Amino acid sequence: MRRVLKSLIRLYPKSWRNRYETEFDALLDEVPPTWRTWFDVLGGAMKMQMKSGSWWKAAAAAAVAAVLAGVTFSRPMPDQYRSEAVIQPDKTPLNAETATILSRASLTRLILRENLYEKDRARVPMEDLALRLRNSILIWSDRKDGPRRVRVTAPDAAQAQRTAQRIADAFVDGKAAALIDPANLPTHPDRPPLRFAVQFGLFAGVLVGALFALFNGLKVWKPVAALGVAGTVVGAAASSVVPNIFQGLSVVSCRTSDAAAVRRLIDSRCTRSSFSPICG
Amino acid sequence: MRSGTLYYVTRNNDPALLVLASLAEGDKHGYAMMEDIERFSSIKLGPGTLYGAITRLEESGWIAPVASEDRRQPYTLTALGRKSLENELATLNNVLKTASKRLRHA
Repeated sequence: MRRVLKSLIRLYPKSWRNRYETEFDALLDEVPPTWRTWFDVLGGAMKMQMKSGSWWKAAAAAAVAAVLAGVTFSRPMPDQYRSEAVIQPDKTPLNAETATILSRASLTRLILRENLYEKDRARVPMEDLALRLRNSILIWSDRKDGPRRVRVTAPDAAQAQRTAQRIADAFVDGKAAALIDPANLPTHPDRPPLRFAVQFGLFAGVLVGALFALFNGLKVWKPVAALGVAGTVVGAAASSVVPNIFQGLSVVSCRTSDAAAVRRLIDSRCTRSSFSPICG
Repeated sequence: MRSGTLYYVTRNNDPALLVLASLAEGDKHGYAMMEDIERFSSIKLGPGTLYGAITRLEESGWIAPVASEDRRQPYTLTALGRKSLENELATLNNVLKTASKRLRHA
């Protein structure tokens, strides 16, 4: 850790290192190598680069700082799993039913029945837990009369699935909707992949560094050119890691006087489970 | 603004003033300055911030390195630095007195 910290000295301008490197290196031997120290040394390197007019090194330092910040702040965040059930409403809208099912009393019952937030229940008021659960639930639809998706996000995959299923069941039990797709058990946490965080941090860092250089009186064309090059590199890197997606299209002609029946037929056949063998 | 003016040295907030205040007591190397500053101001300067201030102060001739036997480099306050610190403190005192007086009458 300390060796990596000391390697950051290389980000300072050469002229500065010629004068201060030995004593700065000695100082870094004495200070604790915490994240705060890392960012302070990186910030110092950026400022010195700005001062010496090396815009691209400043942008590089900003990129390193942004990547480190992204990785640092994303690591302690707990994984979140997302489960989704699909229901077809018997009538639209479902406003009254949704309000009842997502009411504080109803969610409190759900928390107790499913034993949710077991550790937090001793110290957090039930009202706050009900609100937390409410914020983790999203009920939405692509179309006004289309199927509703009940999405639940939770720190545990089984809990997300169970909760989504209970919410969907509540609509079905209340004779307000029919179940099309039961809640799935999520296999991966719902968080942006690390490579995305790194790429985003890199791009943001280069952008911030170049803009900072621009506002510190450096010539305009250099940051603009740097942004162009950086954008190209990041775009190329991103495109190389994103898998190809193939899209199929077929057209079916159906003559009928009941358009809603066709819609219902499509919704009932085109479910997640029917596509899962080929789409994953 | 040019190197050597009060604005150039202190524009990036207080680290430069803190370093001057620390060296007013006697010569110190970087780590000793960091500890001293934390002791008298409760401000924990990072190494990057400290050396940013040291660089500006040395360029302005307000502090100077003194002979050292090891890799740690002690610094001393120059006559110009002492004078500038006195001026800076006088200005700050004036600001504090005026602000306190105005607060009392507000």
